[in-house]
Amino acid sequence: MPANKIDVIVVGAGASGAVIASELAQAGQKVVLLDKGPKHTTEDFRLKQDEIRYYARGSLVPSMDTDPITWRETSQDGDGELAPWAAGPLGTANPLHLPPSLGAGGGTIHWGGACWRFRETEFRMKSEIEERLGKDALPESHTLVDWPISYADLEPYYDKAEWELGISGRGSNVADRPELNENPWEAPRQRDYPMPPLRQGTADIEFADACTRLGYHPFRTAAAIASEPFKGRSGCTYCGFCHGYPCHVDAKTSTHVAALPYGEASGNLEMRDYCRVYKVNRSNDGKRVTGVSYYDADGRSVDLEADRVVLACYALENARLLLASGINANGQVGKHLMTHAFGFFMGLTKEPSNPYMGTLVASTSIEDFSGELVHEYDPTVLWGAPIISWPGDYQPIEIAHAMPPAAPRWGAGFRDWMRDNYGHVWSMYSQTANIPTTDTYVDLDPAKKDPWGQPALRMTHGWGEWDQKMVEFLLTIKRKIAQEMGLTYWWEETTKPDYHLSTHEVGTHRMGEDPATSVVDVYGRSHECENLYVVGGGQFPSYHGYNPTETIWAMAYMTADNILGRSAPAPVAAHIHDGHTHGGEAHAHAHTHAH
Amino acid sequence: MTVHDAATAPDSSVALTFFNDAEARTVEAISERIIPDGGDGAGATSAGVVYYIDRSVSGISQNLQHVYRTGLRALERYCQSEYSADYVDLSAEQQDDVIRRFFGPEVVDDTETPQMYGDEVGERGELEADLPILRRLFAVVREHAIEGFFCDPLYGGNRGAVGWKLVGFPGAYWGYTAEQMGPGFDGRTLPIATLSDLRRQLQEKSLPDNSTYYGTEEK
Repeated sequence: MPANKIDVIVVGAGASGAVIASELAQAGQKVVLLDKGPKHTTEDFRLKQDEIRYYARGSLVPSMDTDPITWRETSQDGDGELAPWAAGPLGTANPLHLPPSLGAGGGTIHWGGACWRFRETEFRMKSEIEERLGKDALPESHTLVDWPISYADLEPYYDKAEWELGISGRGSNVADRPELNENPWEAPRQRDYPMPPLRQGTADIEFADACTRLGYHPFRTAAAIASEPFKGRSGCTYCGFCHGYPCHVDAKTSTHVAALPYGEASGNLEMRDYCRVYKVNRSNDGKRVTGVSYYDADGRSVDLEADRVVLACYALENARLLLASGINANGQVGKHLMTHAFGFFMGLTKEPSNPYMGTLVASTSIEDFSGELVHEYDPTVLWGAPIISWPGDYQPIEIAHAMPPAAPRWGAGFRDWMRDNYGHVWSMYSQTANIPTTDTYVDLDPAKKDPWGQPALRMTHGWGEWDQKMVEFLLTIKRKIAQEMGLTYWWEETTKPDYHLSTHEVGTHRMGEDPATSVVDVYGRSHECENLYVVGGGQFPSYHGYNPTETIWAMAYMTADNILGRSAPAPVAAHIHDGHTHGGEAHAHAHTHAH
Repeated sequence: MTVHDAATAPDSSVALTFFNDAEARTVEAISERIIPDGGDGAGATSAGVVYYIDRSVSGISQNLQHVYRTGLRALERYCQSEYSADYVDLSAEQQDDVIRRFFGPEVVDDTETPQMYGDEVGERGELEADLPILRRLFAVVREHAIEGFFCDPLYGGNRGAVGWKLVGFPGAYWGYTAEQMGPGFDGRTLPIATLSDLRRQLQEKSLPDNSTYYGTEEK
């Protein structure tokens, strides 16, 4: 590509960055994609069945040495300390409680691949809570707002993400498919997933059966993992090294295989790896960005200019880069931090669960207690979440770290516990987000710097009583399920976990229509600099019981269309019986299934 | 069926990359009390845990060299003061008492903070200064012992895959079939495979077809 003219610099080659860069390049824009990590290839991952390398030593995720994050529970707590939950006794990383993987694919390299569309009510969570539970139900310090878009606005983009990138599952509430009805609360879909669900592990079937006996409505969790060959990628081999690990057969939908190659094939996309962007540069009047400055692999500072800049480097680093570049005129950057508590619930099955097989998302979920549905059962719980089975993908060291509190930590008892129980471990979890308040935010640490002299990010985040109540309610349901499954023993994570990073941080550059109270518009475009886009989960105005990535993908496609001046994709008719085409019927299903 | 030779022909090197001989014997003795052989040949010593730790500390965990070097020195001071003997020469019960003192009991009440064990102030005069490094040493050895017991044998530990065999983990697999994932399948019947086995298949281009695993039909 010509070196003298760049249309768009995209910073970060992860979930949203690789998708946006590839969409723009395919439409003829000259794109340079920068990432501080490596440009992975599948050959790098062929021998990835290695718990030391990827789990114990967290080789894909950023280290607190190179990318420090400090934390304090409240703004009254003085200086932050280096994220204390992120490192064990050896100072190595637990990849589940750090920011996502670096390099091409970003977090989609090592994620579990759980895929969810948000339900319709999630987009108006604040209004739903106030209407159902009263104006005073939310904590006084909350900063929750409704989304400026609805489910109907995102539906064509959810559909595009599922069919372009490859998601397996079995939808419910699918247009013209009344037989697909396992999840009564699924938002309306124009068509089913492009691939059937993954194969369940044996204990997952026990979970589903127990839920049915309890009168719940189990359905198969959707997964960003190919269950059969998809666009030249292999189907999943169920190797059991999945969450925290890269995929050795490209079955996992990582954007380095699902998006980037299409952009590169256009000849318009150049990815530069090991390039660490440290500043977004602006015009003299500050109203436009001119490009970015980065340190290359040899530590040289490079200035790069372009007509547009897209920051797509995760909710935390996006906020840090904006703050370090002085782009925060309205003071909103970094506010409204939200993340997930998992309510992990582990147990032992009677029959072997063979927990080293399969993937955690080859699983079953229930939505009976999601979102506002929980109010029917306990109106003191602000918002519910799905309960999700996690049937496999557990290696021995991970289980040695997750043993019950009452189990021996060393000695013959430790050894024998592992011998007798490892093969019977099974788990379930839910994801409840903290309500954003004036005391959940990120800013620049006043003292701590990274090795390049750049200010570290500081998190201020604690779990409120209202947050813990959500976890506790879902634990009561999990106990019922465990009993019904006949688990021989079980143990639970606390309602106030010691971690504050879940790889699901969102909200830190909130989107909204009002430039005074938000950082970007619904397309991720900065209110402050007209040719700057800041995209990803940082845009979320509220957060719920779902993994963020499918929604991040849907929004990334929406951003690409906005930059290119394209309209939303037209609905695709799944079953064309009458020979008519259905082009041009945008929003055909938008208002037909309001709950 | 593939040949799983790496698991049955363990790395038998007893050479050291960081520890001196006495340090290695002490680390091996601590590790063996953390994961003792139950009479079935599966314990930290038979797994070669100390060789995993030695290679880690000379390589990726160089930042822990001082913890081992000064911590082991402090441990000998304590053992000489308390028992007039080196740690390796104590009885198993005495060795366990030392671990309890600096790491805490095997089972802790989850309301207690393990780091507080052994915190009696002034009881042993000058040795009090050693408490922080001794607590850190035992926390580090425990973590390293678990890693060295369950790592792929390529890292020097889990020799003969004794850790994996003990818990029924078959190791490094390309995938699992529908039949293997089905109800009633006893995973302990699966042969152990290591990363060395997989690499050999890569070299020989003898990888099984992925459809062996993603195919949905029961065999």
